[in-house]
Amino acid sequence: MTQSQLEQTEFADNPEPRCAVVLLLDTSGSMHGKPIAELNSGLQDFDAALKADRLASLRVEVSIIAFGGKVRALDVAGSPHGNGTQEIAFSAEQAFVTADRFHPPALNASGETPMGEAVRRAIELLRDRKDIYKRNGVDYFRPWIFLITDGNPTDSGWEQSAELAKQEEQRKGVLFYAVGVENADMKTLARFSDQHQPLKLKGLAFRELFRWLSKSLSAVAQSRPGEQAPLPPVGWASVDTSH
Amino acid sequence: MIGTSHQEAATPCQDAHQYRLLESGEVILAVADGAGTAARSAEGAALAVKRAVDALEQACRENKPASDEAWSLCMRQCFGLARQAIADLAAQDGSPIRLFATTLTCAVLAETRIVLGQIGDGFAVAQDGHGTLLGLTTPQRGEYANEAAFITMPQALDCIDVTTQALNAKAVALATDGLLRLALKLPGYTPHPPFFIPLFAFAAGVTDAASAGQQLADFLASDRVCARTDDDKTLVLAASVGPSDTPPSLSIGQGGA
Repeated sequence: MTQSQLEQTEFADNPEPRCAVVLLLDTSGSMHGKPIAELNSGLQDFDAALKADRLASLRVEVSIIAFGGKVRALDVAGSPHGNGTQEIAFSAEQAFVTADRFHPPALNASGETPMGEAVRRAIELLRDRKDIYKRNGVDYFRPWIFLITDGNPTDSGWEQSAELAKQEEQRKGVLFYAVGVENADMKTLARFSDQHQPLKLKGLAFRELFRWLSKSLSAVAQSRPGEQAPLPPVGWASVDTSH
Repeated sequence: MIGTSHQEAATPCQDAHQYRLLESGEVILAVADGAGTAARSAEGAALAVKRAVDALEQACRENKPASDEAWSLCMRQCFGLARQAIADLAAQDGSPIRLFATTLTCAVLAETRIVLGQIGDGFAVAQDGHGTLLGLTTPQRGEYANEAAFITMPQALDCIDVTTQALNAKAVALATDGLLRLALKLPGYTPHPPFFIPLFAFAAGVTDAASAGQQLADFLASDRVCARTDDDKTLVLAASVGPSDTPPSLSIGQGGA
């Protein structure tokens, strides 16, 4: 008799807490050829790894901003028209999808490296995204910006964006990670964060990098109150990251 | 007739709870949730509930507060004693107190008053004589889902939420955050009636406390619950059974992820 009362309990239907990540991907001309191909493969692995983790697939929200020639937010929901590289508006409603609905776009490389504007856009998108969470009673984790580049910013005013990124990280608004590929200027990248030194990708180990990122986001998205999810070791980078 | 039962999960669990039913009629309940990444948080949680409940019992016996203000002060002092006990243990072992990080939620049902103290993201819900559900405390949470307040923080004693309410509670539930998303509706943390009403009906109908505790533990460990939360979860239920002058029965369930 009493047991059946416990079976009658029904649970509140709250949305899953979210962990937003903006992938800031350099698609400038210098990425043409093998680098962009490896980056695309890495995105495929990222997608598969996140989808394989049920909770992460419901909690991790992905947005991609590509900067090559111009800065573009990319459709990551695999809309029925276009080839997936389609540009969409910088809108926090549209730019993010949970990993279960993520369709990695196929990236092409061309143009300059407007990294500064890309960083500023990412910070703005994440601020707006958090407002949406708050309005809708959705719990969330500290969002990530993950910047991957093989070059130097070519847009004027990138220094202000670097300062903005530092401030946003300082006030715990975001976690900022930068990864330099091949000839990237690590000193310049270091100016975007006081808390995480930029990491140098070993060769073109994008696939390893993205599997690491997926694992890290899965850990964060399932961390409990009081936990700072420990991140897996960084096997894909060639600098010591122990401090 | 007072009945209690207690189930411990076999898996490591950083949750703890304590309760007392005093002959003078007061009911004292406490739950605590040790921080997952703090090495000795299970000890912190166990010590916090023990010291707080001991101190509240002593206050009830020796110098029972007579007003809301006196109760609030008493509850704050008991949290202070709980923190001090953890600080003493840490000092004795030469360990930093943060290794013992834990939340703490305590309730005292005294006559027609219910007094609640809390630090962290536990929660407490009461049901009055008309069956209406009432959230007694809002979980303390930071901006991010993995942030929490702990009694071991330096400024902890300034962060304790204490409330007193005139309420002749028919039933009360205290729980750790593992059940939060199942039992409360976000963002307002309002009690979810389809969760609590069957639970309180279960508690009010308890005749064999040992069996009830087992059933509650089984419930917390059930696939249905575990599919929705992978955290440690503790639920303490107290409900009046029979005439209103009868002390409540207690059912304790605890489950570990």
